[in-house]
Amino acid sequence: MNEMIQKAKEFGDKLYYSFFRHGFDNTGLTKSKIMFSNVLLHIQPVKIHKRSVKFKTTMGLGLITFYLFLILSVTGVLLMFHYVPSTAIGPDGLPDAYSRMLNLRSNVFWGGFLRNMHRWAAHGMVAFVALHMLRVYLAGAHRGGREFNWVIGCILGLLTVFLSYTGYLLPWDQLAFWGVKVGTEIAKIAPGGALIRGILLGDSDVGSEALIRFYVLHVAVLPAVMGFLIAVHFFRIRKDGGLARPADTSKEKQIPDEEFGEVKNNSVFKSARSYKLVEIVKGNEPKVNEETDQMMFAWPKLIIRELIVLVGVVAFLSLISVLFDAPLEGPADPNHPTNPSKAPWYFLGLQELVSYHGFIGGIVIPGIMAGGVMFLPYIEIFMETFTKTYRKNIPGVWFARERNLENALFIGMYLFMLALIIIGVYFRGENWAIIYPWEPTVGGGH
Amino acid sequence: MPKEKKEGKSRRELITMGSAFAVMGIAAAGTGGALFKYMFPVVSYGTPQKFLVPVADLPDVGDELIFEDMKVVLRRQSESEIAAISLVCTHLGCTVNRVETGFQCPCHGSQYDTDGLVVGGPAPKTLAWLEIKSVPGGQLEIDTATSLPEGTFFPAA
Repeated sequence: MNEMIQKAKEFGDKLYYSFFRHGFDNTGLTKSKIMFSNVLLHIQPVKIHKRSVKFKTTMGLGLITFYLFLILSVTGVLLMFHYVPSTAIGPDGLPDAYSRMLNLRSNVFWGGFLRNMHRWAAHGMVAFVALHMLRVYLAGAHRGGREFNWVIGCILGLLTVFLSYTGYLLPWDQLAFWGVKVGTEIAKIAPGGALIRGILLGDSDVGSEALIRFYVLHVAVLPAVMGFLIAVHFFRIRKDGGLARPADTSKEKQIPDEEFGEVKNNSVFKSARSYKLVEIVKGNEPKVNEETDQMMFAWPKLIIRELIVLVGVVAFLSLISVLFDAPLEGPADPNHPTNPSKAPWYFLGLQELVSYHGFIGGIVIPGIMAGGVMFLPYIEIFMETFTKTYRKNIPGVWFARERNLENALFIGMYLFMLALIIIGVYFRGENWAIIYPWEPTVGGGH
Repeated sequence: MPKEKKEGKSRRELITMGSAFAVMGIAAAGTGGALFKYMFPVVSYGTPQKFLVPVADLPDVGDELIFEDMKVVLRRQSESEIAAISLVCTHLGCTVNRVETGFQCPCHGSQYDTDGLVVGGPAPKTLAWLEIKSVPGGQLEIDTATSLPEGTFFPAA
C-alpha cells in the first residue's frame, strides 16, 4: 500500500514538473524561476522597485488600459461570429449589419451582454488612455530616456481613438452613420484629406464600401498594429529600467519588507540582483547593484496586485454591461440626419470646435494639439537646449515644483478639451443650438 | 598601406550597402504606390451624380419639390424659370432641413436663407445651385456635382 502511494506521488511529481519547472518555496531562486519560466510572466522583471507596486506611482492606469484592450479583443472576436459587414437589405427590410445588431440583442444568448461589454470597454479605453497620459506627464515619466516611448504611447492613443471610430460605424445605425459622416467630412477640409478620405471610404461617400473597409481596419489591421506597438511600449519600459523613478529613492517611505514575506537567500552571491558577467563589463548599462534594498521580487505581490486589478475591471464592466444597454438607434438613413447629429463623445470636443470654424477648429487646433502632445518631450528638450532654461527633471515624482509651468499648461489643455466635450454632450440640442441639459431634445432618429 | 586598404574596403561597402538600400527603397516605393492605387476607389457604388426629372413632374409656380435621395430641392420661380439647390451643407456635408426661414443644418447649426445664402453658423459658403440641362424625351437632367452662383435659373423646358 505504502509503495503504491509512493509511486503515485512520484508520478504526480513527474506530471507537475512537466508543466512547471519550479516549486513554491520562499527562496529567491524559486521566486525568480516562477517569473522567467512562464511565458506570460516573463514579460515582467524578476525584481522590481518597491515603489512600483504603490498605488500612488501609477494608479494602475496603464494596466487598466491594457486589460481593456484584452477584454475588447476577446469580446470583439466573439461578436465577429454573429456579425456581417453588409448594407444589403435583408428579408426583414433592414440592412444586414443592422439586423445583426437586433439579432445580437434579442436572439443570441449572451449577445446583448457581450455587445454592451465591448461598447463600454471601448469608451473606457479611450478615457483611460487619456488618464494614463495625464499621469505619465504629471509624474514627469516621459523624460530621462523615455521620450520615444512617449511618442509610441501617443501613437497607441491615436490608434485607440481610430479603433473606436472604425468600430462606431459597424452597427450601421443612425448614430453610427452620421457620426462617421461628420468625421470624414472633417478630413475633407485638410490638405490632401480628400485622398485619404477616398482611401478610407472606398467611395465618394459613406456607404457599403466604407462599411467593409472600416470592418477590416477594425478587426484586423488596427488591432495587429496596436498589439505590436503595445509590445514595443512594454519592452522599452523594461529596457529603460522599469517604471520611471528618481535616481535616489532611499529617503522615500516604502512598504516595509515584512509585508512581502521573508525571502531566503541560498545564493553564494551577496548581491540580491546579480547580472553575473555583465557586472564586470564596462559601461553604465545595465544598472547593477543600485539600491538593492529598495528592490523586491515581482512574485507574488506584484502579480497578485495585477490580478486584483483585472478582476476589478472585469467585475465593474460586467456590472455596467448588465445595467446599461449599448445605444442602438434606427437603421442608417443617408437622407435624414438625426437632429442633432453628434459624433462619439471623444470627438465631440472636436465637433464643438468645428462648429465655430471648419478649418481652424477641425484641422489647425487639433493638429497642433496632437502634434504638440506627441513631440512634447522633444519640445521640452529643444527649449532646454537652446534657451538655456535648464529645468531639473525628476522622473517619477508627481507635480515636481520645477515643472509647475509645464504641468499647468498640460492640465489646462485637458480642462479645455473636457469643457468642449461637456458642452458638446450636454449643452447642444436641436440644430446644434445651446440648450440646458435638462431641456428635452428630439434628437436621435428622425 | 593598411590605411588605403581600409579606405577601399569601406568604399566597396558603401557601394554594396547603398545599392542594396536603393533597390529596397525602389521596391518599397513601388509597392506603396501600387497599394495606394489598389485601395483607391475606381468605381462609385453610391448614388449617381446626375438624375432626370420629367418636365411633366415640375412643381407649380412658387412651389418646391424635394428629392430626398439626391439631396436637391427643385424650385419653380416662374412659368419659365426653374432652379435646383443642393441640400448638402457646405460646412461638413450634412443634409440641411427646409425650414420657414430657409435652410438649417442639424449637425453644426449652419443657417441659410431661402436662396441658400449663409445667415448664421459655421458654413463657409452659399449652398450650391445646380446645373439643369434639357435632355430629349421631355426630361431635365440635374447635375449634383456642379456648383453655380445663387440665382442661376434655367428654362423650365
